[in-house]
Amino acid sequence: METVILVLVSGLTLSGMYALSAIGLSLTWGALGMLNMAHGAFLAVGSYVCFTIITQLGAPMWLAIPMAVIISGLVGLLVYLLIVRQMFRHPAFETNIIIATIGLAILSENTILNFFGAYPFRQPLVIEGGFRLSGIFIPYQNIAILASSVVLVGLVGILLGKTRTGRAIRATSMNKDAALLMGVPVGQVYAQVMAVSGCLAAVSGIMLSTITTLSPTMGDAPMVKAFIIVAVAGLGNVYGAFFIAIGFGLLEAIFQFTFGVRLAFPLLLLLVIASLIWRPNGFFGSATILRN
Amino acid sequence: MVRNRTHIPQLSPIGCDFAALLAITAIGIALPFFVESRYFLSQLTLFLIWATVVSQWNIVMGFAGIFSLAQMALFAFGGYFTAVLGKYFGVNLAIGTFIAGFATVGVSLIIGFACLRLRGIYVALLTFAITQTAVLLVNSDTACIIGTGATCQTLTGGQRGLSQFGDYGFRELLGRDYQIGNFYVALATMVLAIGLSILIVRGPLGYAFRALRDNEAVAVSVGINRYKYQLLVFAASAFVTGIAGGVYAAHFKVVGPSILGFPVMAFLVSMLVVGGLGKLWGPIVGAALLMLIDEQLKDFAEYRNMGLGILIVFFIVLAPDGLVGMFEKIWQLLRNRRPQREDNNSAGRVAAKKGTLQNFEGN
Amino acid sequence: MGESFLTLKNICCGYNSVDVIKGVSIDIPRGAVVGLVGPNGHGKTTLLRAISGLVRLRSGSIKLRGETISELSADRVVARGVAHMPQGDLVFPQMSVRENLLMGAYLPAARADSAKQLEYVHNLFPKLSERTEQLASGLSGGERRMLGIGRGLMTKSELIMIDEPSLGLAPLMIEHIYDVIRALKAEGRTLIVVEENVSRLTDLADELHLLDDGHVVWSGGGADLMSDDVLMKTYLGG
Repeated sequence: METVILVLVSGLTLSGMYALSAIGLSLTWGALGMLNMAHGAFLAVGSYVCFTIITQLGAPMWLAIPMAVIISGLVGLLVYLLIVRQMFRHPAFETNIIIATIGLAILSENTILNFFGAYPFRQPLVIEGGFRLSGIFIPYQNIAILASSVVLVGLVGILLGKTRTGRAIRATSMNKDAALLMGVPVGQVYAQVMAVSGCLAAVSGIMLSTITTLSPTMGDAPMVKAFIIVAVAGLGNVYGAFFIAIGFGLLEAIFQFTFGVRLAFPLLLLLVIASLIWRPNGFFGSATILRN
Repeated sequence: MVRNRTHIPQLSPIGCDFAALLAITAIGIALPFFVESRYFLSQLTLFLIWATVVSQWNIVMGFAGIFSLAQMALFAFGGYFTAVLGKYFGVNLAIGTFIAGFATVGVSLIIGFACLRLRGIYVALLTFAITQTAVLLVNSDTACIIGTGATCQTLTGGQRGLSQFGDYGFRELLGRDYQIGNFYVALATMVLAIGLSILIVRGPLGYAFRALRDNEAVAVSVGINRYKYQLLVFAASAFVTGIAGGVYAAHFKVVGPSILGFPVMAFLVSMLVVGGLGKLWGPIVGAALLMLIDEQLKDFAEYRNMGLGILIVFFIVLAPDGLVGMFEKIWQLLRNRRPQREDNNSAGRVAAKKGTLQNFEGN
Repeated sequence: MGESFLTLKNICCGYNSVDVIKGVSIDIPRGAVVGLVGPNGHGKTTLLRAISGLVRLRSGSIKLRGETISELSADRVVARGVAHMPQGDLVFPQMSVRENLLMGAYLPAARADSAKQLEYVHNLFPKLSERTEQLASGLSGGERRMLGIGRGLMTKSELIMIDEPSLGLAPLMIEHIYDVIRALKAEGRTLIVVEENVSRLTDLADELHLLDDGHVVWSGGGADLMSDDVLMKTYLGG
């Protein structure tokens, strides 16, 4: 029973972080048709900015986090304006954008490395203490992460489902030409999606950094996992990504517990490969995006 | 708008390419006699190795349009395989390299099969994940195969890497000039790689992929089986890549997880992009230029990777067809005709007439 | 007939640097119903896409109410009162019928009246109102067509372009759709209809343009076209 609770807690914490990261990626993937290899960089940037704001500017947590998130959103917007938008016209956009974002990721990681060094700073955001549930110690930190994830996912859900902006994003993801014909300013939608994606990645990164430490390459592994989650869920299906993220986090915790940390990921990967062979378009995916 | 070409008697495109390759081979053969510095020769050898790997990556990504990010993993596999054969099984490295080529084909086919039904981005994702897993597995390899404690040897050498597995034996043959031996091996590998590339691009495989890219429905109706060609490309490109890995191992006498890391991948991506993705001669141009730049910037080591990142973004955004692409455009302008766009009826032409290289613009 | 509502001047456009439209000039007066006919694959669909802005012009210009719209992105063109119901409908598959229709009323101008428009569309297509919560991906071909047209009507645009309204529909449905088109004409809207079957347009259209290989090879009234055996045989399969 104790192990179950332990696994559940760590699993759900992971799920929460992955869900936010994956949703951001799914939005980008769905609306713009791009595989954002700089997603991990957004995670790292958000964390380091938050860290800097707290330690250098002495700002309190409730100020630092939103600021870092907004800044990451702006970075996402910039990436769209300066890079993605220029590349849309090229027929090989899908390949080229992967390379461009790889370049961005390298630039970002090494800029962080040069600025901060590789020292594994601790994010000064830890909530001390916890409570006991049937003998197991559950840190408040984890609960906070889980709660924040739920709230944020809910907000994104409302944004997508109930607002005009959300409808525009969904329409653009489903059929860009049709959206244009409805008067949806698709270019603006793209910009919004990239900004939101940056914000979500930042939150995910900040959460992650409270459990582990800061490092320039901290976004790499989470990014791979986000990719996997989104692919298994299916192109651009945000709700699907959410559910698969939950499953993934729990599975990872179970695998880590059963097979050890080293083998957990490769085994997960095998599972993923199998599922992608079974369902090449993802579990909840449908037809591919109509890229003009 | 297609204009009529005046028919000037000239070599067919494939003839031109092989002529160029011949010229490069000749230069390569002559080169060691003019190079004094051992370090320089070693760097040239490295250039040849990278050009090889990038040329094969170019085939997969640039021509066949398969977003594979597993090229480095295949290269590393070839290197590690050769090293392991040499170290634990005492296999002569030359033979080991050759075997590694085939072994790498095997691995590549497995990856190819896994990616078979996947489209576009999914392939990138999967191959990226596979590469990351390889990095993870190697870096955390602590299972001792031989010995324990201080004398522990793991299969992949873990974070330290593998060493002391032999070499091509040029020291015995050539004495002080043993580097030249490695250089020629690398040269032969690169010539093989480019030759293979030319055959693939100008041959039926190239036609097939262009047709698939332009209009898949038509191509399929003409009997072009995407799966078959995808696997063929995976296999063909893996062979030389694996061999290149073996050559790397033999030359530097150490293989470590660094060749799987981001910096090396960044370096190769830069070569690919700067040279020109999808351009036949892009890899050589890109590799040469990047090695030159890298050499000049040796003193600014910390900023090296930042610079690479900027270079990649710069080129892919502003000059997605790379330097070779730019040369081509300038060449067209100089010859006073409009830049000929890619013929987008390859599928139809395949159906209509196989064989005649008429108005073939290749890339 | 009033002054020119929509003017196409010598437009050339296409895909991948291959021109599909090779110099087309058409004048469309306000309130007119114009038919585009001709063999398949010769540019009728591309012409509509050029007008709505989904395809960029290589040369030439398009003016709507005197304003040049050929440089505008499609969403801006649509905002100026252009509805394009494309071939293939392009419905939003993971949205319900209702959500699809409401997307038609995305722009502020249409949003104000969306409830009334929705009722109008439901009356036009009762079959659709039965399926109002169903996902568009689960609709049949004919239902999708109705949805595509209904959604376009939600935009309350002055210029309405329909690509092959009768494609894939049962004869009764086709009659129904053409009744709708007639009603729209009576309201004073301007319509461009791409139609393979010329006979449907003969009473309805004020002018027909015959498109072949990216050129307008003939323009005139429907009756004239039907009675011209040479034209009918050459371009429209007798």
